[in-house]
Amino acid sequence: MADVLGKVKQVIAEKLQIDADQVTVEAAIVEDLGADSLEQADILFSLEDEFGITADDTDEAEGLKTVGDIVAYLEKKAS
Amino acid sequence: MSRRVVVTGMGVLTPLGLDSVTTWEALLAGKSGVGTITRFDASGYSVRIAAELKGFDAESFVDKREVRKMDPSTQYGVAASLMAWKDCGLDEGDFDSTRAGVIIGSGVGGIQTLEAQHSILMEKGPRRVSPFFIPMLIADMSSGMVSIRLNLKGPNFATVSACASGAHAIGASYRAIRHGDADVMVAGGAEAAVCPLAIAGFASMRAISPRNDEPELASRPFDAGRDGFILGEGAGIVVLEELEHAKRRGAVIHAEIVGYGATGDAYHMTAPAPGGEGGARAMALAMDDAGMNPEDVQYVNAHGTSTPLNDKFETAAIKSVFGEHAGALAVSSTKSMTGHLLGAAGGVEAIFTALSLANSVILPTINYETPDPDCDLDYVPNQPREAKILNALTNSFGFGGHNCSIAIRRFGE
Repeated sequence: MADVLGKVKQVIAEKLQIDADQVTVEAAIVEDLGADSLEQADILFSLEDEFGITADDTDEAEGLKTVGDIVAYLEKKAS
Repeated sequence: MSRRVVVTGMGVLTPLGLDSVTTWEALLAGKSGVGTITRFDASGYSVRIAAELKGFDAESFVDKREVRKMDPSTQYGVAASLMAWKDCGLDEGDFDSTRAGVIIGSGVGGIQTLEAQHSILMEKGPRRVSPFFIPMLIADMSSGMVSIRLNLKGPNFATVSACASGAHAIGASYRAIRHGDADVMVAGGAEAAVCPLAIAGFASMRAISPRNDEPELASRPFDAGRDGFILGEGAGIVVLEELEHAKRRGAVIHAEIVGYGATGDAYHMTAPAPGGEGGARAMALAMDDAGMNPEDVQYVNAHGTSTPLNDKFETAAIKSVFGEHAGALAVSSTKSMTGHLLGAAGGVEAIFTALSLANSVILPTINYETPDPDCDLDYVPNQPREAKILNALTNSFGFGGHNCSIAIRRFGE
């Protein structure tokens, strides 16, 4: 879903103060975009809040590495 | 031979100005930084006035990504530290980073963050509490963040002694240099407590003035009509340096820290001990540490909060320590203009005292109108006074019975 990816790009770019173009589907949040562990959690929680998701499986959320992983996770939870 | 400690850098953010020059000019003009609260809608509160920091832009000091991770108290602490560092002129290569430390105190730490995150917890549940909540809350984070920015790897911690936090930070830093643990210390206090929870709490204590219709007249230390302090916010940070270290690099020296006294009241949670007994011992210890006699001191920058008890007992304390010389002393409270910056107060007031020594000007106690028989010293009422002063004390006392006095000497005399 394009609008999910768009929102994810926007939140990550805002949190990390980077250009939205850098936030590609393949980009790893920590390795490629330079987030630390707290920023990684902050991005995820903000997106969950944005999409109205109540997460019950923290293990699944913690395994998310790339922008694409986050988009897939949000789409699954939101459906 | 004892190592000497000098002030080579100063940075302030106060309700009177966002740097030391602007603040100093406002102090000389006797301006009040107190006004009606704009930070939040205080219309339902018994106290609706405070000394807010106005026009501060954290992003002019730190990039936006970092600003978001800092409570306002840490933003103030970091910004004032960066100003002090710039003022001291230290460059990489001028010093050993493992012998340069940071001690920045705060009375309440990240209370605005606590307030906001607690609301999120109640409204949205535990999963929405920010991963930055804890690091933004804790009162030691200014010390941590400043060390990261400036690569200072020496002693690093925070002092928490309520309204004496900033003064204890300077005292502990002075000791660290004198004792040989460090050559350079960034020291002082930062506070950002003008928020609903803190105003409500201090109002419940009846500690802050409810003079809502006359905010600029509300902070009136030693005046008979005083009825509480005014909550203020900001930061005051100094760079302290070992004298020979400063001389070797040709640093501009603002003043010398020559003594530190710290005591406890062992009396009450919030009320000072009768007669200001604990504060008196702190002043005596600071003078003893400095090798001064009472007659050597010309000026005391008082804690002078504008509460009925503090000002009465601080006056008694000064009289008990200085004896007959108390009548010849100039005593003033700059809180009459800045409000009470809590944990930052000791930092900004040490800087004001250093500037008074360097500029031969004693700052006034404004709003002094009606003498109180219990407060019968020379409070430098309403107008600054030109006077060559060689030695001064700056006092800070905190809830919990923490008393701190710092002795500062004009440099080069």
